[in-house]
Amino acid sequence: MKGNMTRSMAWLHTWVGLLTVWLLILIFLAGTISFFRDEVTLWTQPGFHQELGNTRPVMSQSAQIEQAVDYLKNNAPESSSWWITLSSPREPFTEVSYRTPSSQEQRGQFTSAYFSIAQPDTQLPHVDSKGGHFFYRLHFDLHYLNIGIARWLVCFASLFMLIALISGIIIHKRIFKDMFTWRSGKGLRTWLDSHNLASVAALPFHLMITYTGLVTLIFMLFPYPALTQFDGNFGAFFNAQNPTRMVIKPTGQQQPMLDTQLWLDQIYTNWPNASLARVIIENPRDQSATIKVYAGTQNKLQDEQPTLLLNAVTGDIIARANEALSPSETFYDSMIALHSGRLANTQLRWLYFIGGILGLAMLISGSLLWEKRVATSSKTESFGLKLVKTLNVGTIMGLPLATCAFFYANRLLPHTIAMRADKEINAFFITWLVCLICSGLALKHQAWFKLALVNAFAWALLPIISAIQTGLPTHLAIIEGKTILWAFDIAFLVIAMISGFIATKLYRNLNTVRAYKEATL
Amino acid sequence: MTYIVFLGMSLACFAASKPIIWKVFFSIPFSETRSRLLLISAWIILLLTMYVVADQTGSYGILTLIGYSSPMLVVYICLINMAKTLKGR
Repeated sequence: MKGNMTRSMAWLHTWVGLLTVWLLILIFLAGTISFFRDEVTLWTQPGFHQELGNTRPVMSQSAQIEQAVDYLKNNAPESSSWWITLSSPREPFTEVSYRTPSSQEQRGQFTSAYFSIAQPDTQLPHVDSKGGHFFYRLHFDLHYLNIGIARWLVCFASLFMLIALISGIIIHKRIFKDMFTWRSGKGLRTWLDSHNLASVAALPFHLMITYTGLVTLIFMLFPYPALTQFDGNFGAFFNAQNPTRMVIKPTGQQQPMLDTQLWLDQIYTNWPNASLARVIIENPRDQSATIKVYAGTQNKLQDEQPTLLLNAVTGDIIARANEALSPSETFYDSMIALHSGRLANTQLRWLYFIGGILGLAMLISGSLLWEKRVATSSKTESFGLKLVKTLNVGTIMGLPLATCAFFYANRLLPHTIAMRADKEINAFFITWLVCLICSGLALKHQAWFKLALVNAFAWALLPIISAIQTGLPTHLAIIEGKTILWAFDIAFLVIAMISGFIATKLYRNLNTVRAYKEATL
Repeated sequence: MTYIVFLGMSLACFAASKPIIWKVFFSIPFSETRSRLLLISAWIILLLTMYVVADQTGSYGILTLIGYSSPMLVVYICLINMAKTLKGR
């Protein structure tokens, strides 16, 4: 304990925050971008841009499914798994995927085809890119790390963040009195005010996103009730919770599937007004073939989609799940829905995004506050302070630049290059690494200014490069009503302007320091 | 949209109840009674808005209302600082 309760909490707040802040910045950035995961994916697929603006498919859902099944019967008859993802307002295309037959060494990979919803017979050209899915997975899988290790790291970072939030509330005694206070040009006081403002303005969001984030990983943190109930068998627990997860092995005896219209009738009899989201057909030519159908949850506070599992030969229902949830399932599911923001309409999605940005502002101002405070109070620069300084510049300036590099790679890499999606991701991490190295070794005192300047130029050039590569500049995107494209261009320019503003301010500060040093010599 | 206007009104009342902010915008002297009245009004408007939103749009509306409070607070602080700067000149 450090004297009294408030001092102990301040100590806890500082160290718990400082230990995980850079990891949290990465998690928050990836999570914030993930709120627009589908939109980022659309931006990264120039072949899909013609579909932007089409929100209503010309074909009914059953006609789309019939067309997709016919395509799969003709193109992937030997496949063990067929996936049909139906279009939605945010994903205006039908995705038809199948698993290529597996060899003895490895499981078959998925191959996808994308169909227009305005001209259902037209297949859309697809570029090998992870798009928004990269940021979504990065948010909790941290990409290069082993999934188990990554999720434990994310678990601990979330726990630390929750502790930091609660201790922050305790130490910030004048939380309501200081609510509208922000004093500019006052050094450390300004940083503290900025930290308080970013924390308090979106406090409900920060608490919600951290707590629900922990709930998403609750079976890692606290698996004991489920393990006790199911004799240590997690698989049995998940199967009991959702019986449609059962795996039915192929018998090896061939039997044709039921006519598509017949099993669709069975689905619409059970769900008369359902908007279907996905259909998965396992072992389509086998006697044990199954059809799993997911219904969309739209704007409901529910994340798990209602699911039906049918026998593909007889059309009988084998299992159903998530139609009526128990109170505990409702609680768990609503927490996941709140965290993922999948329930959000455009307006709420933007509010989630702003909350994420304020979360980033809170983390950044917190880590800078520590750096400035220690730098002011100590005469010599310790190793710890140098490390914090390097990580601060490398992460705060490096991550936006890395994101920009990911978008550049998407537009500039040749479409035919092998492992293209991986190369885009490598561009992200290599840029981040270069920024960290530069901030630690090469740039030193000017790191903030130079990286801000590079950010400004890189983000400002991105809409131009994108327009050259896709042939669709911002003004044409506005005229043609392709909202996603011009909104992205404007977002890039806004980031460029903010980076430019920061660079100008830093340049003035550098000049002032230089002039002061010259005057004192 | 109406509830966002009411949320804005409530936040404005909260802000005006602070003596520093009051002095930036009004020439009338600040008084404790006026501050208390503003604070009570702010809470009444906020709670009534939340009740109406919860009643009419359920949890989704409440989520949106809370979501709007963050950017609105940031905008208010920017406006207050702009006003302070202008007054300083």
